Amino acid sequence: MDTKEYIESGILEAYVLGALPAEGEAHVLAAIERNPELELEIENIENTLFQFAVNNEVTPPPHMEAKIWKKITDGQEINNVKEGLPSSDKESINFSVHPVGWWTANLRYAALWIGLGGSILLNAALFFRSGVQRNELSGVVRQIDSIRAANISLVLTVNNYIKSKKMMADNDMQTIVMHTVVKGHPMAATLYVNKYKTEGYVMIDALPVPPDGMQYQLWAMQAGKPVDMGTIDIDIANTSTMQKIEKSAISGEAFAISLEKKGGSIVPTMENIYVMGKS
Amino acid sequence: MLAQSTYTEQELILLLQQRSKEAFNYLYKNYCAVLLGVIVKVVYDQETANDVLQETFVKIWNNINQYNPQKGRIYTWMLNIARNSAIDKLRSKGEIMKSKIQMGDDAVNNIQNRNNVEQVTDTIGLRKVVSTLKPEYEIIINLAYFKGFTLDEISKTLNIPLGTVKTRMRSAIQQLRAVYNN
Repeated sequence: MDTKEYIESGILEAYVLGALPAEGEAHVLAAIERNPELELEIENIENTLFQFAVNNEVTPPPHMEAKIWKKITDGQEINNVKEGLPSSDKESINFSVHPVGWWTANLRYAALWIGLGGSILLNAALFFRSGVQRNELSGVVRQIDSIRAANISLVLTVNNYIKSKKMMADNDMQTIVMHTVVKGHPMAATLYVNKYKTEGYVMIDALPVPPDGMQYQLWAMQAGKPVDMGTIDIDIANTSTMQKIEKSAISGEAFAISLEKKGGSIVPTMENIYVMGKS
Repeated sequence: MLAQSTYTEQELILLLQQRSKEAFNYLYKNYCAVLLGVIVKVVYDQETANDVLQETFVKIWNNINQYNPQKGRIYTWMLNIARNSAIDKLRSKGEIMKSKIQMGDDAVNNIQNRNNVEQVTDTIGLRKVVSTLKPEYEIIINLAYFKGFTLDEISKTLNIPLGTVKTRMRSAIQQLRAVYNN
C-alpha cells in the first residue's frame, strides 16, 4: 500500500480518534517513523478535531478553577516539611524532680538553671544559624530558578534546531532564507512553508531586539504588492525561537520582515524593511 | 485555536513539569472550556462533567512527564485524557454498557433522532450543538470519539464493513476540515 492509499484508507483518522486497538496504534506509529508525510497528515487531523472540540466548548462555572487548583495543591501538601523546635528543647525542661536531700535538691535546681541557660543559649545559636541557613537557602532557590530558566531556554533552542532540521530535511517544506537588505548590518530570518502553502513557520536567525513599542511584521509580496502575514511575537524576536504563521494561505513571490509599531501596520514602512528573500 | 500564544507547546510542557502555577493558570484559561465541551458530550450531566473536568486537570498535572510528543500534539493528549476520564466515569456508573446497548439498538434511529440528542444537550448548556456533519458521519464520530468504541465495535454496531467505517471516518474529518477552512 503506497502513502496515498494508506492515508486514504482512513487508518490515520481512526488512530487520532482513538479507535484502534494497541496493536493497530503501534503499526501507525511505526509507519509514521518510516514516512514523515504521515506526520503532517496526522497533525492536520488533530487540528481539525481540536477545532471540532473548540466549536463545542462549554464554559465551566467560575468557582472551578480555584477548586481544581486546591485539589492539585492538596495532593502536594504531603511533601511539605513541618517546621518546629528541636525536640531536645522540650526534653531539657521536661525532666522529673524526685524528693531528695537539700544538697541534692539544690544541685538539681542548679542543674535545672544551667540546663535552662544552656537551652536559651542553644536556642539563640540555633536561631542565628537558622537565619544564616535561610539566607543560604534563598540563595540556592534563586540559583535553582536561574538554572531552570536557563534550562527552559536551552531546551527550547534545541527543540527549535531539531524542528528546523526536520523541516529542512522534509521535501514538502520549502525553505526561504530572508537576507539583510541593510548594508553593513548582517541580519537573517528563515521561513518554512509546506507544499500546500497552508502552514508556515518563521524563525528569526539574527535580528536586533525590537525597541519598546515596536514589533517585527512579516510580509508576502503577491503580484508586486505587500500582503500582511502577521506580526512576530516580541519574545520570539528576543529568543530566536520559531513562530507559526497564523494565516491559511502563505504564498508570494518574495517575503520580507519590517520593523513596525506594536500591533503591526497595514502597509510596510519601506525604510524599515530589514530582511527579504525570494521564494 | 488557542486564545493567546503566550507559551509555545514546549514551553507549556516544561513549565508544567516545573510545577508552575502560571502554567496551570494558562492551561486552565486556554483549555478548560474545550475539555469540558468534550466531557459534556460524553457524560450528558453538568455536575458529573465538572467532577470529570477536575479529574482531567489533576491527571494532566500529575502525568505531564508521560506525555510523548511523538504520539501527537499536547492538546490531543489532553482531549484524550478528558474523553477517557469521562468514559471511565460512565463505565464506573455502569452506564457505558447501557450506552453501548442503546447505541446498538438505536444506531440507525439515532440518525433520525438527532433532534432529541440536541434537546438533551441544550438543557445542559452546550452552546454549539448543531452538527455540521452528515448523519452517517456524525454517528461514526460520536461512537468513536465520545463513546470510546473501537473500529471493530463500530463495524458490528452499525453492521457495516470495517473498511467502510475507516473511510467514513476520513470523510467525516475531511468534511469538518472543509467547514473550518472556510
